[in-house]
Amino acid sequence: MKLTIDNQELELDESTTLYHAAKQVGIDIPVMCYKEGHDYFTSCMICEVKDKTSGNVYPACSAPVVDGMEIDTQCEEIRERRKATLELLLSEHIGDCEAPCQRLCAIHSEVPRMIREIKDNRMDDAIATIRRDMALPAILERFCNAPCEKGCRRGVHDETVSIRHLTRYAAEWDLRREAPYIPPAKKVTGKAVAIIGSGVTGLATAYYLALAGHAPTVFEQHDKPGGRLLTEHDEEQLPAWVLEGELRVLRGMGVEFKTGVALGRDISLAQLGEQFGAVSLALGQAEPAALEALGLEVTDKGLKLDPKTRQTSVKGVFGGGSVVKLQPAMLKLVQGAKGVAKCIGQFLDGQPITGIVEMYNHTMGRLQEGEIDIFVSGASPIPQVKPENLEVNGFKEAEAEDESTRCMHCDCRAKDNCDLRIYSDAYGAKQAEFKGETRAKHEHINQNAGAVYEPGKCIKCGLCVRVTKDEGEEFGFTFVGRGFEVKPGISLNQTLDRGLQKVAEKVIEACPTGALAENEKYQPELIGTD
Amino acid sequence: MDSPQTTQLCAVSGNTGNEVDLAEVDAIVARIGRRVEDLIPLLQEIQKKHNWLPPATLERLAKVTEITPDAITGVSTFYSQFRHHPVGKHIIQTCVGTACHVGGGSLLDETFRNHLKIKPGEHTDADARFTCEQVACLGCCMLAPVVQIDDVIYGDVQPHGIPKLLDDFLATEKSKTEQDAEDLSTRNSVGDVRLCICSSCNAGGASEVYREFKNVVEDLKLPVRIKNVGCTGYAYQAPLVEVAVYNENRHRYGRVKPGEVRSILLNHFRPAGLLTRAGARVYGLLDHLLTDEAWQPPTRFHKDVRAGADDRFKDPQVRITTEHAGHLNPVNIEDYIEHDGFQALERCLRELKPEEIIQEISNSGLRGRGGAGFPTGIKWGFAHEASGDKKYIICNGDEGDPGAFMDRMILESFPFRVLEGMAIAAHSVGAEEGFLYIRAEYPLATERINNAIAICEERGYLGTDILGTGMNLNLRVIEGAGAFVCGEETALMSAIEGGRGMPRFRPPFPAQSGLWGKPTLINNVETLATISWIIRNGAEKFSTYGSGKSRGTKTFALAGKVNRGGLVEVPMGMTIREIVDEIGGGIPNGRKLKGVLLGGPSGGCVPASLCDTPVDFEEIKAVGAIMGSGGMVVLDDTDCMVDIARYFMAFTQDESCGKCTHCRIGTKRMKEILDRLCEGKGRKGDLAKIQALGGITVDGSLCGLGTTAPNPVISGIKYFQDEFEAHINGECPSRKCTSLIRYDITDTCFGCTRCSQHCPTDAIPMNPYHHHVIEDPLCTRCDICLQVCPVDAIRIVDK
Repeated sequence: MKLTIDNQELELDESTTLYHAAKQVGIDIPVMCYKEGHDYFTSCMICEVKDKTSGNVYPACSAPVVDGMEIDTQCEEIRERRKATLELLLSEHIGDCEAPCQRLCAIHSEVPRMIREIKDNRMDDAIATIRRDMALPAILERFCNAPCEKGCRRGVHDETVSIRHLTRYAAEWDLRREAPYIPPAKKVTGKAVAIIGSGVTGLATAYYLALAGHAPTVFEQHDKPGGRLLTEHDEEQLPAWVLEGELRVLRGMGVEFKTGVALGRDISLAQLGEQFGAVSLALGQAEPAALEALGLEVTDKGLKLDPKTRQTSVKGVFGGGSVVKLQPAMLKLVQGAKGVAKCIGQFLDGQPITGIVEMYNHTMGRLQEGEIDIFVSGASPIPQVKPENLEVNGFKEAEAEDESTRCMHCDCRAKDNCDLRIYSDAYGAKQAEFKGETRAKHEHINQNAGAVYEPGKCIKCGLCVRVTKDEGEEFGFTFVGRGFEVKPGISLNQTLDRGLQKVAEKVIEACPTGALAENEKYQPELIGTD
Repeated sequence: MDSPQTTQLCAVSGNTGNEVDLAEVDAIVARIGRRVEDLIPLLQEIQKKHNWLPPATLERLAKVTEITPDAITGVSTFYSQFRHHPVGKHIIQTCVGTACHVGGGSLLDETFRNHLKIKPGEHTDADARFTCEQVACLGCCMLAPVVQIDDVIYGDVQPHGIPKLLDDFLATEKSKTEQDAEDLSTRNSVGDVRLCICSSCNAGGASEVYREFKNVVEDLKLPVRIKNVGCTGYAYQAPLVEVAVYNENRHRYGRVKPGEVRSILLNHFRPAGLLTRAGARVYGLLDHLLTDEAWQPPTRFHKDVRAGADDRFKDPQVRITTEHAGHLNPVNIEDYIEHDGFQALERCLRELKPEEIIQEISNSGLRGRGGAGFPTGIKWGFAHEASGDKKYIICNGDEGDPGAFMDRMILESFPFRVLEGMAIAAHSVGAEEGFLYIRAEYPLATERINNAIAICEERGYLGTDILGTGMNLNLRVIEGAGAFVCGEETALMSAIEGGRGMPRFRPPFPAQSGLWGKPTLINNVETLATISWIIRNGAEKFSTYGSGKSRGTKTFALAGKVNRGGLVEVPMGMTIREIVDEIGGGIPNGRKLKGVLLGGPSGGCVPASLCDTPVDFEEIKAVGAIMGSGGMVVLDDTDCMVDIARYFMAFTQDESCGKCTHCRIGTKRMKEILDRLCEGKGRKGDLAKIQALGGITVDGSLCGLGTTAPNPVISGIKYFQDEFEAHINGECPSRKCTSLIRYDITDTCFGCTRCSQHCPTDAIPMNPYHHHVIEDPLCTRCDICLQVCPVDAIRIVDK
C-alpha cells in the first residue's frame, strides 16, 4: 500500500502503525504512552497525526496505515492539539522540574546536583556542575546576594541550606588544587571575539564564550586584568589567589588577555571588526561622549542597545554590564555576561538572536499542609551549620559535608529526560492554561525499592503496568480506581519494594516522566518503610 | 499453591476486627471458576457475602485462582459496585439518575445522612446499621425520585418522608419482593387480573398488591386467574392492575394499594359459594367499618378501556418491540409461543439462509437502537463475512444513560423475545456462543433472562441442536459491576473477558476481532427485541413506519416533568412535542415546557422552541442532541440548565474510565467550572473556557463517552446562554442552585411549628404562635420546610 507522510512517499508491503511507518522514513512522531516492545495503549494522545485526504486525526501509535493516506505530522492543527494535550496533563502535574533554588538563580546554577555531589564527596563532579553554568564562582560566591537561598524550601521547615557557602567551598577547593578544573568547550568553533574590559562582565563574557567553543580575547587598558575587582575589595574580601585562580581557569580555557590596550586610543572599533567576528563592550561605566567618540549611538540613559539582542548600533558590536546600566550586584553582571555571550554565539552562528530561552519549567507552587514533611523526611534533620567567621573562612570540609546533607532534593529526578517536559517545551505548552480548582497532595513513595514513586507526576500511560506484567513481576503495578482519580499502584496494596522485585530499572526507563525514578543512594532515611 | 480445602482464618486489615472465613472464598471459587473471565462474578459473590471485599479475600483469590494480583486490584477498583471498605447492615442507594435529579433526588442523599447523623466524609451511621450510597440510575425514572434499600425500591420519595420510609423498611425488612411465582389459576376462571411486577412497578408496591390479590382470591375462592404480565409501560400509574372479565370489558386501576384489592375483586367477580359470598360481604363491611379512613373507591384511577377517546396515552403508539405489552406473561414460554413466539426463529432456521435474513434486516432499515444508529443489517453482514472458526454474539444490556430504562423493561417484560432475536442473529452470523451483558442495577432482568435461557434450553430453542436443525447456541448472562463506559463495545468486551472496562482504539472492530480476538457481533437489547417482529411481518411493513433514514419504531423512557411517564414506543418521525403532550399528557402543575433532554449525558437539551423536531437520528443530531438509547427527560421552567449541565458533567466525569488524557482531565476541568458557576463563583471567560475544553475533549477521546461528554453543556450554552451568564453574575433564574438561593418565611406564617419539627438541621428555632425564622447558615436547602408548611409561607429567594 502507498501513502505519504509529511510529503514523503512510502510503500509498505503489510500493515503497520502510522508511528512505525513514519519511523521508516526518519520521522519521529512524539509518543509518551507507547514504548517499543510493549503493546500500544492509546491514552496520552500526543502522537496524533492528520490524514489530509479524510481530514481525520489518528493516534499514530495505534492507527494502522491505510492505502492512499496523506499524513501530516506537524501541521498547525496537530501542533495545537498536542499543545492542548500537554496543557491538560500539566494541569494535574505536581512537582518542580528544577528546584526552586535553581529556578531563582539568575544564572541557573544546578544547585541540588552540586550539593548531592558535595555530599557524596564527588568534588570533581561538584565543580564541573558549578562551572557548567557559573563563571568566576570563587569570586561571585563571596559577593552573591544568593536568591537561591530565598527560594530554598528547607527554610519552610527550619533554616535554608547555605547554598552560597557550599558553592564557594567547592570553587575554592578547586582553585586551591595544583591543576584546577578546566571546563571543556561544548563545540569548538574557534571564532574570535574581542572583549573590551576585564572586570566581572568582561571576564564572565569571556568565560561563557570560551565555554561555547569560541576564541575570546580580552583587552584591558591597564596592565593587569580585573577591572574594579582590583580596586574595590580588600584582601580579606577578595584574596589575590582567588582572582588569580579564576584567571588561571580562563587562560586554561583558551582566553587571551591583551593588557595596556585601550579602545579608541590604541585600537578602533573598525580595526577590531576586521580582526574579530564580534566585539563585546564590557567597559564599565562610561561617559556618553566617550561612547559617541567610538562611533556608537547613545540615548539619554547611556549606550544604545537592543534589549533582546544586546547589539549596539554597530552590527556585531555587543554590550554588557555597567556600560549599559550601572549594576551593583555581581550576580546581575554575571547574568548579563551569560546573556551577551549567548547572543554573540547566535550572531556568530548566523542564527536568530534570541538570547537565553529558558526551557519549560513546571512549578509546584506553595506547599500544602503536611507536604513539607515529605520533603524533610528525605534529608538530614540537623540544623544549619554555622561555624564562626564563616564569611572570612568559608566552610571546612566536614562542615560542608554536614550542610550538604540538609538538601531536600526538590528537583525532579527526571528533569533532563522527561518527555512531558521536553514536549511541553517544544510545543510551547503553558502550565496554567487549564488550571484546576485545587491541586492534589504531593506524594513521594520511597520504600527502598530501587525506585521512587511520585504519583503526582504520573500521566497514567500505564507503561509501568505493562512492563511489570510483561516481565512477570509477582505483584507489579496495576491501575487503581478509575476516571480522574485513577493511578498506578502496586497490586493487592503491596509495598513498592515487593511490587518491583525484578524490574525496577526497566520500569524507570519506561516511565516517560519523573513519576518513577531511580532511588539514589543518598536518601539518608527511608520513607514509609514496610 | 494452597489446597482449596485449607481453611484459614485471617484478621482483616482495616477497622472492622471481623474475621473472614477464607474457606468461603475457596467454596465460591469452586463454584464459579478460576479463570480470568470469572473474576467479576467471583468478586460479586464475595461481596454478596461480606457486603464489601475484605483484603484477605482478595489475597486468597490470587492464591487459589489463575487470576493475577494486578487483575484483582485493577478490576475490583474499576467497577463502582465493589466496595473496599466495610459498610453497615443495610445499604441505602439514592438514585441520582437524571429524572431523579430533576425530581429533587439529589436532596435525598443528604437528607438520609442528616437523619442518620452520618458524619461528613463518612457513609455509615454510628450503629453501622445503614450505609448511604448514590447509584447512577435504578431505571425507575417515572417514579422519581427513587431510593433502594437493600432489595426494596421506594418510588416518589420526598425528603420529609424519609423517617417514615426508614421505619417502614425496618418494619417490613423480612418480607421480600415477590419472585416470579406461577400464575395463580383457578379452574373455570371467568377473568384475569393482570399486573406487572417488574422493578419499577415494585417500586410502586406491586409485590404487595400481587400477594394480596393471590391471598384474597384464594381466601374467597374467586374464579380468577392472577397473571403476572410484562410491563404496560404506564409506569406513572404503577402498580397498574388490569381486570379482564372474559368476553366482557377490561378495567384498569392505577396506583392500587393492597387495601383496595378486595374491593376491586368484589367489584368484578362473585365468590364461588353462597356462604363465602355472604362472608365476604360481612368482611368487606367489617373492613370498611374498622378502618378509620373512609374507603375510597379505587375508581379514581379507573380507566375503562372502552372509553378509548380519553385514552390518549396509548393511541399514538405502535407496539413492535413491546408487542403484547400488558397481557403477555414475561416468564411463561407457553404464553410467548401462543403470541407467535419463536415463529421467526423457526422460519429463519428452516427456510432462510443467513444471507437472506441479513438482507431482510437490511431492507427493514433497522438501525442500532443503542444510540449510534449504525445499520443493523450491515453490522450483521460484517460479522457474517468475518472468517474465523469461532464467533461470538453479545447482547448489550448495559443501559447506562441515567434517565433511561427501555432495556430494563424489555429484558424484564420480553425476555423470550430478546433471546429469539439473539438466536436469529447468531444463526445469521454463525455464532454458537453468546453473552448478555446486563447492568448490575437490574437484578430482576438478570433473573428473568437466566430463567428464560434455562426454559429455552429445555424446550430446544437454545442450546444444542436447536429445533432439530443442528444449530447450537449457548448463552450466558454476565452481570455488569457498575461502569457506564461498559456500554461502549470494546469496554464491554473487556469486562466480559474479566478486565477493566477500558475502551481501546478501533480498528480492529469487533466484527473482525472482538471477544478473545474472535469476530463478535454486538447488538443492543432493543435492536434484538425488534428482530422477530421484522421476520414475522416483513421488512416492508417495518419500514412503512418512520421518517427519512430512521425506520420503524423507537422506544423511549419518558420521565421528568411530565404527567404520564413511562415506556413508550412510537413510530420514528413523531415529534418530541407529540410525545410529551399527547402521550405524556403535558407538563404537571401548570408549569411550562422548558426543553427535553435526549440522549442523557451524551446528548443535549432540545429547547421547547425546537420540540417540533421529529425523533429521527439525523434531525435530532442537527439540533445538537442525539437520539441516544431513548432516555427522554422533560424539563419545566423550574429546572436550571446550568445545574443540568453540571449534573451530566459530574456523571461523565465520574464514569470516565480515565484512560484518554482529554476525557480524564477535560471532563474534570469542565465540571470544576460548572461547579463554580452553580456556586456563584463564575469568572469572566468561563464560558469560552468550557467551549475550548469541550472541543478538546471531543477531539481527543477514543470512545463515545468522551467524544459526547461535552454535548449537554455545549448545547446548553447554545440555547440557554442567558442562564449561564446569569450564573456568572451570581444569579440562578430558576432558583435551583442552592448556593445562589435561600429559604425565607413570609408573614403568612402563623407559628404552627411544623417546619421547625421537620427541619433535619435545626435551622428553624421552634417558636409556637410566632413567625418562624430560618437561620440561613444552618440551612441545607433540603426543601422539607417548604413541603410541609400548611400555609405555603415558605419561599425561595435570591441569596
